[in-house]
Amino acid sequence: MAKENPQGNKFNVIGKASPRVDAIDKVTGRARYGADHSRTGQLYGAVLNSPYPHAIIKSINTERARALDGIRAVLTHADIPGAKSFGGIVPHQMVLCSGKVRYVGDAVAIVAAETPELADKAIELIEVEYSPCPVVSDPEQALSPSSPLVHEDGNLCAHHKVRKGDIETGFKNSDFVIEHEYTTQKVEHAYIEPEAVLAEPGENGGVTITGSVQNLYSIRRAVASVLNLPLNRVRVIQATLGGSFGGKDEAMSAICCRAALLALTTGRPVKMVNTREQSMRESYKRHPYKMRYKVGVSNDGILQAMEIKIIADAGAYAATSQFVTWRSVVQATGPYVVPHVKTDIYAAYTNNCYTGAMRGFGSPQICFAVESLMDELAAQLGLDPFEMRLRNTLKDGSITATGQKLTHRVTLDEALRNVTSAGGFKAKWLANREQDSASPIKKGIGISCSYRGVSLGAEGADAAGVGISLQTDGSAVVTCGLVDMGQGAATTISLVVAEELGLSSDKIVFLNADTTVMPDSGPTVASRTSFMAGNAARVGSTILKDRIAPVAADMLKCKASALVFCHDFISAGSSRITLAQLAAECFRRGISLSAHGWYKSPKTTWREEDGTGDAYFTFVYGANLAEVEVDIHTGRVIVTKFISCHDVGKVLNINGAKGQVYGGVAMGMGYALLEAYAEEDGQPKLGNFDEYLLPTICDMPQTEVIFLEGDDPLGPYGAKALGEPANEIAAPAIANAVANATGRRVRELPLTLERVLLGKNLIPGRERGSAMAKGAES
Amino acid sequence: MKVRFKLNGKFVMLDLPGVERLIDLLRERLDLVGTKEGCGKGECGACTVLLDGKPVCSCLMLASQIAGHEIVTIEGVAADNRYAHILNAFEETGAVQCGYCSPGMIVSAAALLARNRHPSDNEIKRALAGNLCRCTGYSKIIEAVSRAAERVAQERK
Amino acid sequence: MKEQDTINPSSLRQALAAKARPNLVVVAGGTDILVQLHDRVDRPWPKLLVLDGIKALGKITLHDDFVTIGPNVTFSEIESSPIIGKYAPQLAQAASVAGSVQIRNRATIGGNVANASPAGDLIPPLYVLGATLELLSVRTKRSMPIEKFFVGPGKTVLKSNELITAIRISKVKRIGFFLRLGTRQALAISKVSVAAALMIKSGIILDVKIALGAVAPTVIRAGVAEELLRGNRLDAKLIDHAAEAASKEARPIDDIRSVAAYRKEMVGILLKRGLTKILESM
Ligand SMILES: Cc1cc2nc3c(=O)[nH]c(=O)nc-3n(C[C@H](O)[C@H](O)[C@H](O)COP(=O)(O)OP(=O)(O)OC[C@H]3O[C@@H](n4cnc5c(N)ncnc54)[C@H](O)[C@@H]3O)c2cc1C
Ligand code: FES
Ligand code: FES
Repeated sequence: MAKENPQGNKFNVIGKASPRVDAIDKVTGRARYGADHSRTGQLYGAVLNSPYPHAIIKSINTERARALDGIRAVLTHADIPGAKSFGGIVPHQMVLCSGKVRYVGDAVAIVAAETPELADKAIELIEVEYSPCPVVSDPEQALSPSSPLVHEDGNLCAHHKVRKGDIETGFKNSDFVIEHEYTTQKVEHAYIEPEAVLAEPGENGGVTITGSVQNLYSIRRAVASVLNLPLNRVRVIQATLGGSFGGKDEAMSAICCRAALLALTTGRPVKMVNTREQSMRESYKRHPYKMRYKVGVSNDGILQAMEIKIIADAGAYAATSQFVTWRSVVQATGPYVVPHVKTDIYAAYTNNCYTGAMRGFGSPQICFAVESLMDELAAQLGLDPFEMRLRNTLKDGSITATGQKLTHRVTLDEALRNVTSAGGFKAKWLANREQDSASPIKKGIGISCSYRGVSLGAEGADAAGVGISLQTDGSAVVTCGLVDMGQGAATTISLVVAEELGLSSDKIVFLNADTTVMPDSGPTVASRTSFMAGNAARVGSTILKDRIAPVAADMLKCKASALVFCHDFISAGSSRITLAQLAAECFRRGISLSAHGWYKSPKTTWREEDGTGDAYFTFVYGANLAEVEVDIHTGRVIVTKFISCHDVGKVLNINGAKGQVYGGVAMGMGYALLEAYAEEDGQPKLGNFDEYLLPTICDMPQTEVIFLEGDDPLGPYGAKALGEPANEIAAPAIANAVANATGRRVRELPLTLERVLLGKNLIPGRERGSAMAKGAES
Repeated sequence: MKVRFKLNGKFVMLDLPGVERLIDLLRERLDLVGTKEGCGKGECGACTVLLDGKPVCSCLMLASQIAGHEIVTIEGVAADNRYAHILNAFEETGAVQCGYCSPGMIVSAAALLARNRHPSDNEIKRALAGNLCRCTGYSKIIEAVSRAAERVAQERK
Repeated sequence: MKEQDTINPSSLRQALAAKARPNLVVVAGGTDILVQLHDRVDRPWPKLLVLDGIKALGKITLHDDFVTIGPNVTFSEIESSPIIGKYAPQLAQAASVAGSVQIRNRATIGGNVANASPAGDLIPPLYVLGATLELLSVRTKRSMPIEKFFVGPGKTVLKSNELITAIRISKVKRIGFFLRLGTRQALAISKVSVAAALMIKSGIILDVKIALGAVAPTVIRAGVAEELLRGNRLDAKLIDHAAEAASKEARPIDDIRSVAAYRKEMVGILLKRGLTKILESM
């Protein structure tokens, strides 16, 4: 077990505490984010959103807006030269709506003007006549045959199932059956940087887009098809990204299409920067789930059967709902051996804000349900939660719910043992059940665990590329088709290259992704960056090294196999040359100093009919422990201590890895206690960070991180994934700790003061601003 | 109206077009884009600058309110050797992920360390409570500020 | 908003003269006004009168019987003022828990009062400290107890040509507290707040004032609870009665920050906690 600093490190840079390659630009304020890019002569774009969540557009009149001085373009759906909509799975998301609007973030018209103020003014002058339709706001009702339709072909967005064994037999074999419903709320990514983009008409009749984009290639596809341009005329460059967490994909496609349309129409650069309010209104969220679990267990605490039905709210458009819910269905039983499983998950279209990828990608919801449930079962059986889990966890060679046999080392029990022993779980858990009744402050402790499929799995094509270009002075430029969205991918990839080529990492400049430079590497999602790009970087480095090593051998008059690449030198015995010398010599000899590494993930299989197959090529395991203090008079929950243990395969960069865990815990804590994107009949009830509350520095507990290094043979140096696992099980650990403290189970997130105390949550404010007064009269 | 103020150590005289927020003056007209906007409502602290040495939200100030005062932005902090320890500590500890909150965090930290050389963890938390970060979970940020304080203390010895 | 100009007077006289004109919005620290400006969709925005430059309005001064706090005094200044710490600890406490450092460095007491939010944190302490407001126009000058100032959320009796020019509190020593509940540990608007000031002699409560924030259209006094306490010996049972009474006096609503039932209950809890602490320290 490697705690804090992995021991026995045989690497030069891998596994060490390396500063981020981009940190210096970021701490000095030099880094340029989307909104920091400007061009002379740029125009400002603005969007007219629909005031209705569901309505027919009867007419649009832009005349008054056009008549305004300083307005360079007012565009509607009729002005789109190519496809009117886009979407990776279902291409139905409207760039500008024609017949119908489906949520309040839908756009009806766009404007480009000389100043932002003029653009806003023009927006107000656009007249749209709507005929409101009945609003579909409940996903369960959306699926009933009598529901109004959001999309013509029905409100069912996705249905996945998993069948294993025979569920009836499973319940027959059970001594206890419990059935509960768990709900999770809709949450916002809340990257601190709102979406921003600059679109410029290109010299070749195309368009160049610089902005806060997460998935360059899907955005390029969308823009090209909407503008009717070949892919090579659309260049997408990633600006330094101020956080994404899965959120700057379809939301950015929409903005990029609009900005590009305005730029090509006006022939001038167009800048579009979202306010926080626009970002909240338009951008997709994490799916809220309603999860019904019926579980059978025998007297000895062994799980016999799980019947699961989940309804997810997809909102107005599909985005990645099919994939998100697929991950949920694969992992819905939690990291446990269950002989008989019947799982169904449905995603329904509604007129709410659409939902898509967000850190966890369908797992935080089900982790909350399963991990709460395991504690509830333990209570029924008189077992402690740790023991209950140990009796059922996946072990080496176990078969998962989808019938996949685990052939790698399964470190789940080890993770659970680590957090429980580091946290003194059992003694505290027992003691907390008999606390002094005089004090309103009750202590609680809780655990949770999970398994998680690495990368995309059977979701889709899974490959990535990394480009390495060694310079004649021994420095290098590295770039990747997967982006650094703040998670440290640039650093990780640079470290791998540094390790392989014996470069010191400060000799590497990492270029932000650019579609004209790198091939399509698929989306930066599913915590796949370390794994996929790390492997691609290794492949690329090896290609390059194989090419230059013979030259070095020649210069040093030795065999290539005797060379050691380290600290910017290549040595053989006591003689050595610098990497710069080698690079310069290669250049002289006409040997290419650039290489592309391409990595394709191992095979996965899936049968959609019964939900069986080897869904992911490998899994990671983790366990969390939370300690809380609950004020039972006010409902206030304070998380006092957190322990997070994850099997990451191999820690590539200890700073980056710990950062992912701390950040994941913070986001999980917001999910557990604070955050909820409230809507009522399709209308958002909040719009900014004064009402959507994120954890502040004062809310964070002391967090201990424990890494397990399972050395998976598939990962680069054994590395797997961390970004999402770190996030998915924080909330259930906290919820379990609260139940331990209060003796009462809350099956709905978030655990606000009101909910903990009264069992009910805030009613989204009808009288908004009544507490903080609006517009003081003078 | 004309205003005169000190910006990152230099006196500046400017004609204000009317009602303009300080953040817009800095970003749009003076190209000091290190100062970020995350909410425009005083909630995130990404826009934090120093007003006479005190951290304030530049999204909640009118440009005309800085007449006769001194403003220091992240660019000014970064150029000032007295704050080098803070920048280094943020870089080394991993207190920066996406970095969008970093300029504001560092400006707040600079103000804290200028008046309190040995801040406790709780004092650090109180000083940075107005700066939201979605990426780091704040642990490394607290570590960075403590480390910077230690370095400053060592140097003074 | 760019077409509009601002007026930045450097003396109170100039400010009052300017304020005589209609349709002018006063800006002190701007932490409420700029938020409203950000939220505002309708245009045009009226002219702004910026009070920052008036040094005379930013002082805390000690007189024989009272303390004068200028409207431009910031939360940070209140938090760290020894005078306020001595004569108005509730106010110092409220100023120190509100907002964030950035907000406290700009937010003023005058702005907090004039903004008239029922959740304004400085208002309940000012109620229990018996504060009076000085309101000036070019021609008139009047004083009033702060409780008479508020009409409803965001609504006050301030005339369009008037400014708040001073806030006075008496120097009579009392013990007291300010407690509040917010959704998270920092940077949260109060869901509920309770302030109290008491004069206790030999265990008997000679005088008491209790004010409740965020549970009615304006900050309110808990008169019934005060009545129960006044003239009696502070003990656990009395505290329970008072807490129950105060809870009943609250008239909260459901809004984005909390629900009525919760707020009502919390009034009692907070009052009980504050009074119990006093009892324990006696
Ligand atoms: C992020 C954030 C957090 C906050 N947290 C809190 C909190 O925890 N607790 C709390 O109570 N408040 C909080 N507030 C609200 C705000 O900071 C306070 O109400 C503050 O006191 C307002 O003062 P100001 O000087 O900034 O007001 P301004 O915005 O300048 O003015 C507010 C109002 O007062 C009027 N006004 C100002 N001065 C005078 C005067 N002398 N005469 C007549 N009218 C005048 C203005 O016209 C305006 O209507 C918060 C605000 C923000 C943005
Ligand atoms: S932009 Fe100023 S506080 Fe968020
Ligand atoms: S590092 Fe991304 S918000 Fe702080």
